[in-house]
Amino acid sequence: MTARRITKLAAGALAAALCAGLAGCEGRLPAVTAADGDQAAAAPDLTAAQERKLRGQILDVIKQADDAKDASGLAARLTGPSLAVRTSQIAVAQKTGQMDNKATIPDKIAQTVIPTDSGWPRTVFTITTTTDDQQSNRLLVLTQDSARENYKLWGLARLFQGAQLPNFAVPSIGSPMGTPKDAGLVATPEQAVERYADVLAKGDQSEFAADFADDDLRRTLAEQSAKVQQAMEANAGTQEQTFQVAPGQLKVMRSADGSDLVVAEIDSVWTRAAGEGRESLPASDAETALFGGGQATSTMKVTYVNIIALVVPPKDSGLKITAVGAERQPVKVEAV
Amino acid sequence: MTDLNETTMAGAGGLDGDQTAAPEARDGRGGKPSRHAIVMRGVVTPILGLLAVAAILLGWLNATEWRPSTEVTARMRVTDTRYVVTDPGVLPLVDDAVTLEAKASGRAGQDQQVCAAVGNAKDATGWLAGNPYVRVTGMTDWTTLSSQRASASGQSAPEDGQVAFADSDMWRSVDCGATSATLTLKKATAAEVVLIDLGRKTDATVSMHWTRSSVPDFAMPFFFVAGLLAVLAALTASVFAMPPHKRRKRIVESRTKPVEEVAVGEAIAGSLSGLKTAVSFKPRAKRRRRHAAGAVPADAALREQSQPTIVDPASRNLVADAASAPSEEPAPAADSAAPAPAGGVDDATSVISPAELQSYFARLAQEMGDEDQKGEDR
Repeated sequence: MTARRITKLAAGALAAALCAGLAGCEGRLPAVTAADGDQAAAAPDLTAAQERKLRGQILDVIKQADDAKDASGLAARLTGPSLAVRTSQIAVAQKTGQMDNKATIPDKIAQTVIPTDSGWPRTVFTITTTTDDQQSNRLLVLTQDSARENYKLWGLARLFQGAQLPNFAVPSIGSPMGTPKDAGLVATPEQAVERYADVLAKGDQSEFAADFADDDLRRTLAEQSAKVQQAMEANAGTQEQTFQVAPGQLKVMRSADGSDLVVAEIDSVWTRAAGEGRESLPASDAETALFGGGQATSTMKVTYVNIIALVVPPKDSGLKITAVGAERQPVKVEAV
Repeated sequence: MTDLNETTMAGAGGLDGDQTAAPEARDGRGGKPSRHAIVMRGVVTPILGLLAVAAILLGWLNATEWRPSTEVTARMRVTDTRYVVTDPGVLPLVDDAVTLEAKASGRAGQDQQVCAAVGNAKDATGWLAGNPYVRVTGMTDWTTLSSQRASASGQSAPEDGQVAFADSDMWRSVDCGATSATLTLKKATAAEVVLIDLGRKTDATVSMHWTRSSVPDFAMPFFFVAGLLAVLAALTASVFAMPPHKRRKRIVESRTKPVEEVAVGEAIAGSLSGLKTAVSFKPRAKRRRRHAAGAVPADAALREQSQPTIVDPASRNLVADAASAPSEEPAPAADSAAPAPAGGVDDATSVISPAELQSYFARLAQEMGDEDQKGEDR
């Protein structure tokens, strides 16, 4: 009798122990895998929604400055050549009373190119739609210099009519950023910009002229220069324009088809010396506005900021380096 | 429990029908159930039945009480840190939809606030450069998050020109509060992490809550096992409870391969005879005699005796069978004394007239001859 009771108790205890082992079982505990880390490293730096949001904030800052005709707040969201260009455009607007049409930045975009790079600085290339008055698309270059800074508009180039941009991966995949020394191209981005500056300065006389396809900026500069040259010669004056690549002001994005889209700042100084007894005057409305009520002398020195966008094709493609867009704005007009 | 057990047994018994099951479980001696049947029905079936009921019970419990909860909340406490960051893959650890809450303990600072933001792992690493932080590495169990102290490489950025944590462009979403911040992600990816800025070095509680859309099903395997056990119980109460020779009868009656059946007794007898001939140094003569026409009746008789089920029980004298039952035992030795089994057969089937027997043997001899010839051809 006692033995049976002990057996019963033992059986009960065993059953209870087994039940306890089964109770509250939630399944196998999930674990983090190494693949998760790899996936994280390859992800694009921003989503398209983030790009839209931050671009909206940048455009808001620009709009406020435009409306107030006060460039002091621009530095929060603008940097590099774009800050110089916009500051100048606002200064001109203060004199003329309205912003230049060229300064319009559409808020809708055709495409955005998000980098996948881990480090900083990071650069986002965004191509807007055409403006309401059918001006060409704008190429916006947004850059984040460090993790604890926000993206700022670094460069803006107005694309030339009919310019063909290379293909980029969609934002959800992202594109790798290029470097100024990217190899495997007809020229490194750095070299391409140096050579283009030479072509802008010397025109068809440049030793690199044949490396570059014809483009609007080159043509316009050549025409303008020829016209001014003609006028100056009539007054026994001289004119000279020098182009200098701004050091470090170069952003590169690798396209899906192997070419690099390079955006760089080239500073130019246009010195015009009038003939004896004559004054050298500003050559455009913008120059006039910037010169303001300054006292004209025989020589006028105008500093321009040029933002140029070049497509540098792969070495064996047989293509020429092509300028696809540019912005050119006088930032300083002085009589010397 | 006992009631259930009994019903299981009754159900198992009922599978074969009461009329057939009862006589089958009895052997030829006196109509009492055999020891085999008693063990099968009295011990094995109840055990299997009990196990089946237990499996059903466990399955039911797993489907209700112990069902894995769809709501999973895991938390942890961090001490003396400003930053907490989840590892890649931690956010969608249990399910894509996740809610994370960070609650700083102690009073809120003057201009300090707790912020939590979702971003890429590389963004968080960049933000943390040069700062120590606490990693959320996963879960140690279903209610506890695991953590690890770490320090981000690089130089911490100079204070000037920095944007506030909440204002950074890098975050996909951000939430701030005086003492706590809550983030809800509908579709977290492995690439995303949450970075928590507690404002200053302090203690905090970090909790993550998931709602599982699919929970593991532990009930189904139990129900499956229960089904198997129930079938086994039914089998032990019916088919397995029969004496082995009764079961074999059915196979013979089906006449799939009746002549190829070799009884155990016959097999042993065969090997014994082989041994014996090896000792007697007259292998050829003996073997030939075994295949000779005169030896056939002995073989046939042996086969008939070791396979009593061939005989239709309806035409058998069961009383005579019972009397001759012990003659089943010495069957292996039958070959050594060739004429003896013939007499035994005569006794066992005394209701059959000698004339019938003779004609039967004649037929059998012919059949066996054919069979042997076939065997040699092969």
